Amino acid sequence: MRDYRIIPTLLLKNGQIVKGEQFKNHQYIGSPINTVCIFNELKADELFILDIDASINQKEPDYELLSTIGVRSFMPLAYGGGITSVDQARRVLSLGFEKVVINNSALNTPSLIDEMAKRFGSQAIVVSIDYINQGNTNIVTSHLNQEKLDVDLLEWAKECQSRGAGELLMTCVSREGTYQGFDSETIERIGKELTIPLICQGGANSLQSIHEVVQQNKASAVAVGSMFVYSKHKEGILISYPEEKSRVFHAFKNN
Amino acid sequence: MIAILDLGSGNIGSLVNALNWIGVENTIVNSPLTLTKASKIILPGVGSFDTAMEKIHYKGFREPLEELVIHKKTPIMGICLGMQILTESSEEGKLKGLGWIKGKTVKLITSERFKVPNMGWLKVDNKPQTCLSKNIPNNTYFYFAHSYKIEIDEPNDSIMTSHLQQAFISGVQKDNIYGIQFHPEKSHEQGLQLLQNFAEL
Repeated sequence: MRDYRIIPTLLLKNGQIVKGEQFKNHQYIGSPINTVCIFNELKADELFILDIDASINQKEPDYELLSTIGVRSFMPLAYGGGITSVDQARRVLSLGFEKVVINNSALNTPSLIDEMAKRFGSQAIVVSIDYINQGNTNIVTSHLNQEKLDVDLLEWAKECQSRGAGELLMTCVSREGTYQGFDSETIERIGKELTIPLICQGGANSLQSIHEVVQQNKASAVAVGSMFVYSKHKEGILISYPEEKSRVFHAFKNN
Repeated sequence: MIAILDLGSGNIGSLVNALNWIGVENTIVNSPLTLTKASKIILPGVGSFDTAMEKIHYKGFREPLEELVIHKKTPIMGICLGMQILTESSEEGKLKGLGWIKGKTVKLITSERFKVPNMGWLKVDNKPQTCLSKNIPNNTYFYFAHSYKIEIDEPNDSIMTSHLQQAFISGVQKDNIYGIQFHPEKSHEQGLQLLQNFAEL
């Protein structure tokens, strides 16, 4: 069995952690500091923090909040939201984040990927791509304005790779927050053409579904939202992480 | 006092946070003058081979490092790229490395199953145990984020190995010179333990 990462994704809005469905109707989950602390305690493999406010309203990252999060986390952290320049990326990375996640700024200015990769190394750059399913096709979308873009998913993924992205975070918006299971076909179609890791997101509903999408469908890692912040399908807030994974991967006794 | 060399391109925030958390005094060093006061040195881990070596030369670190590490035997630990620059050269760049560990840095080969950069948790085989792996069980997981690995001339210099499609070196030691391919500052408690071990040398 191949070891793989399971990565909780936390969405920030107005300085709080929220969760939605298909990128809409976001509900309050909790305070960022507490939530991150819990995942640190639960020994999560890694954590993605995405500020949907900063993105949509084109605000700067909340550096103060990020600094507080960075200081007490001892697992890899990635931050995305409102990063449009190399200098903003540098600042975020200096606060204790390993990677920055860029989405719209990469679509608008693809050379930003090259610049950032050259400056910080590919392993610090994650390009995030959102798409919806319409019939048999995948349509890349901009979550900024819910716009469908005239961009081919595979071509864009390959371009990001050739420009120096270290990883791709690919989110199926149609399945996001729905517990429907992953879009395995698309994940396989894209994953097999890439030499860089593909992190898939959208639809996780069980450890089994997570395990399968890695073993069978060429994803390298899985980003998970709803499953780790709700107890069952929206029945209550519960921050969790697969105990088996943390036990096996991160069990450590201080003698 | 542990001196962390600021090589300009990377995130040393996490490393500083981790050292602060375990109560180890540390300082970010930008000039050779402050470097000479260090009892130990860390070469941090992000960016590229040439930019790191360029910074070392440009900031005037090269000779003081040689003096402190080779003559005064100051313990030094390279993390990730910091370990790679301990070697003589890299396929990633054109400049010479520090050359204290005989060998070179080579690109990881991608395959259908193994993507590059290698990102994620891998077991680290640390037998036979050394001071750096004290209190860390064999085959404990640590976090890796890299596109290159090192190949060394002296097998005895290897103190830790890990496995991707084949075994590769995840830790080296030659006298007072240490290098690790993974990121202890991002590897939960086991990482903090390793940093503690280095601090206690």
